Amino acid sequence: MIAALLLSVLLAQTAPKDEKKPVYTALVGGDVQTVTQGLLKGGTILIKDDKIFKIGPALDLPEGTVRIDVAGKRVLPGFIAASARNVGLTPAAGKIADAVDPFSESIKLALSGGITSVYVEPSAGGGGVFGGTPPPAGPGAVIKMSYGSLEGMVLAEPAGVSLAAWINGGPSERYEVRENLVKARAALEKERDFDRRRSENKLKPDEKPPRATGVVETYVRLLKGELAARIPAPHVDDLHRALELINEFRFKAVLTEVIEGWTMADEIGRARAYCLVEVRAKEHAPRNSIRPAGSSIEQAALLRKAGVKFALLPPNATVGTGGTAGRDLLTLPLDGAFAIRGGLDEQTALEAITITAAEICGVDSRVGSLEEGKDADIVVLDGDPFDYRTFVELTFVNGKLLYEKSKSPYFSHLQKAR
Amino acid sequence: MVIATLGFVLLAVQAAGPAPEEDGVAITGVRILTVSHGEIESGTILLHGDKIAAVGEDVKTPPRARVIERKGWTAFPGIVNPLSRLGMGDAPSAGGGAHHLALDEFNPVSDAIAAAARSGVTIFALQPSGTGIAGRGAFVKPAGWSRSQQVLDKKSFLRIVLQPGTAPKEALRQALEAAKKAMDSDKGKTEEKTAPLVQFLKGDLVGLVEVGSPAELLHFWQVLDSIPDCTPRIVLSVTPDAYKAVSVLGARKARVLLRPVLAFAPFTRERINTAAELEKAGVQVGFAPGGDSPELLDGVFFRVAELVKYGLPREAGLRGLTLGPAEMLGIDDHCGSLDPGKDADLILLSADPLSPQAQVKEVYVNGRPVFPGER
Repeated sequence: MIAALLLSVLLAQTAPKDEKKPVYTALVGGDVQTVTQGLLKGGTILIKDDKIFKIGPALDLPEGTVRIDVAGKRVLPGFIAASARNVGLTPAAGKIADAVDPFSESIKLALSGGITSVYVEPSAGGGGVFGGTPPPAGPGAVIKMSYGSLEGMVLAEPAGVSLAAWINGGPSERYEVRENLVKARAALEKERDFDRRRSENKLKPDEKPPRATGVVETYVRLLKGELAARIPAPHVDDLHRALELINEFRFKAVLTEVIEGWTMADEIGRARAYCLVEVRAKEHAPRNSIRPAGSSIEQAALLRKAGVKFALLPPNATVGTGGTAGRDLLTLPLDGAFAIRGGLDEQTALEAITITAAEICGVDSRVGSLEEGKDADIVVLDGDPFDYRTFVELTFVNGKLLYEKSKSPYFSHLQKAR
Repeated sequence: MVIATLGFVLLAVQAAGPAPEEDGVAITGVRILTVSHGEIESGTILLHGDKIAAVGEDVKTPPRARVIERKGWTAFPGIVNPLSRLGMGDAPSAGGGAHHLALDEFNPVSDAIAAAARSGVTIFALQPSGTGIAGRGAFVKPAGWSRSQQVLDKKSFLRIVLQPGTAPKEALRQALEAAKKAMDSDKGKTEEKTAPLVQFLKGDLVGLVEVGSPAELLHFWQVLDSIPDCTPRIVLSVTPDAYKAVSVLGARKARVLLRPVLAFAPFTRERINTAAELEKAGVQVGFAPGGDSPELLDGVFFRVAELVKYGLPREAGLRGLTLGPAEMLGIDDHCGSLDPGKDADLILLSADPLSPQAQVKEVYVNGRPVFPGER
């Protein structure tokens, strides 16, 4: 007895201190919508720490696994907002990583809507719900809704750069955008030349690698495909102008606020540009228009037909309890439902708020689908994602359960009626 | 006649001021809240010079001690105001550096000092102005009219104010990294702007860190954790919504200063007792009145009473006004509780300090009555 006690003490002492025991959580019996690998009815997802460890019909659960019964529920990857404003940030100057507020109430609200990651841009201040959005103060980033924890919150930074000046600026601003891209192309050429000569051992003594700075450096990364350009292009003229630049420099581009994309879907498809589509944005064609114009609820379906990849967004990419209820990020799947109403298939609608949104943000290797090895960002719904009666019941980010409808004040007043 | 007059003069001399042969002051018959070791229903506090000589139920009063009987009153250690700008001007919003001294901004003859003494606060931790690494603080007592009487010798702390954004974080990181380098290089002599930072990293100089939101706490730790092998002593000045960060504050066994107010849960009118939640999580809590105006200082007992009403243990409430902040700031060898050897700083109240009826009747600093004053 004493020997056993001694032994256990010894064992406890010899065990490496910082090797933490893994935490296992299992979501058991739900209908698992993996998005990329089909639907698994009555399946189990085993989470190990912050990652999806295993997905299967019936899994052997390791000892000590926290078991959550989700029979009859839908299990999906957390939704991704390919663009968001005023979510998870304090108005601080500089990098997003230094401006994130893990205790922001907007994060809790986003979690209640099943959103686990958002793309945000540093605010330049000003602008509100009804005011215009000022141009961002720097490159954008993808942040997770990891309430209470700074660790693991920033998924990618920089993840995108705004080329709004190309569309909204005057001739001199437009000239500057193009000029900087030309400079970036030259800088990239120099960089590649340096790498080539280094591999051939032909560098001059003490030769340092060429280094671009400022905007040009960001544009070099853009041309390398490390981040995407965001270009607001609602109307045909904007779209043409955007495609002109994309076709000249061949970079990963995301067309935002797209309204008339449905009228030239093939051209967008040929340029391999992504779109952000606000399904419910409404705009009438000019009365004397001689071409197809204005918004169309069929836009998403028509873009899909032309092979254009897109993410869906609400008309107001914020979260809040203000005056835009039902038109903001709190009900992102409903924008999928509107796209389906316009002829889009359900699978693509689902992708447009998960894996394609992740791809647009450059984070699809980490999030956007339920696959073994991916981040455990998971939502559990009490019904079909595209049904207006459906609520989010549980939201996990990085394997942590951060939202429970039954314990949250947001919808508790609705529980008695259901 | 001549003799009688002489006698009268002698009597008058004896009555004015403490007589040379007097052997301490004994305050008797009072209820004593020692803060460090419980309550004494009726006891004696013996003051000798500027120190407390004895505290207890049956303390022997020396024959030549002046005896002050205060039956029905309650004795309590003087309150510590850990975040004070007493006798200082309006703070400039920017600038600073470890070589800045709060005392350089301090006016020892400010009227505010006498006014503050009436409220029962007997020591003020002066905060230098500025942001980032703002400067070094000082401790003053409302005693006398000169720095030499007021300032607590050889005690200080480093004030750091972290503002949100990349630039302030980067500046702090660079300053700490430079200090770490100086600490490791062992050159012996470091310049005045860096030396206090080295002391801070070693834990020899308390760092009082002010953060504007729970998120800034995490940003501060992110910077601090990037400096390896240092053992700073940190006191955090936090906002009332610090309850959001309660689990991480608890896990780090943090020392925290906050205003004694109830917070409100977002979107509801539900009240949250931040101090109580922090205390329950194992965080050391100290209270900051939030300023030096008589309204704020006088109201501090009342506000702590409200926190006790809503779940903060009474002991934690009383400690948070006195010994808690004194320990955090490293001045508990001088003040914070009624114990022999500590400075004779105490207050006498007409009732229990958390009672709404309690009035501060007398305030002693360094063994001398500063309120209502020498009589």
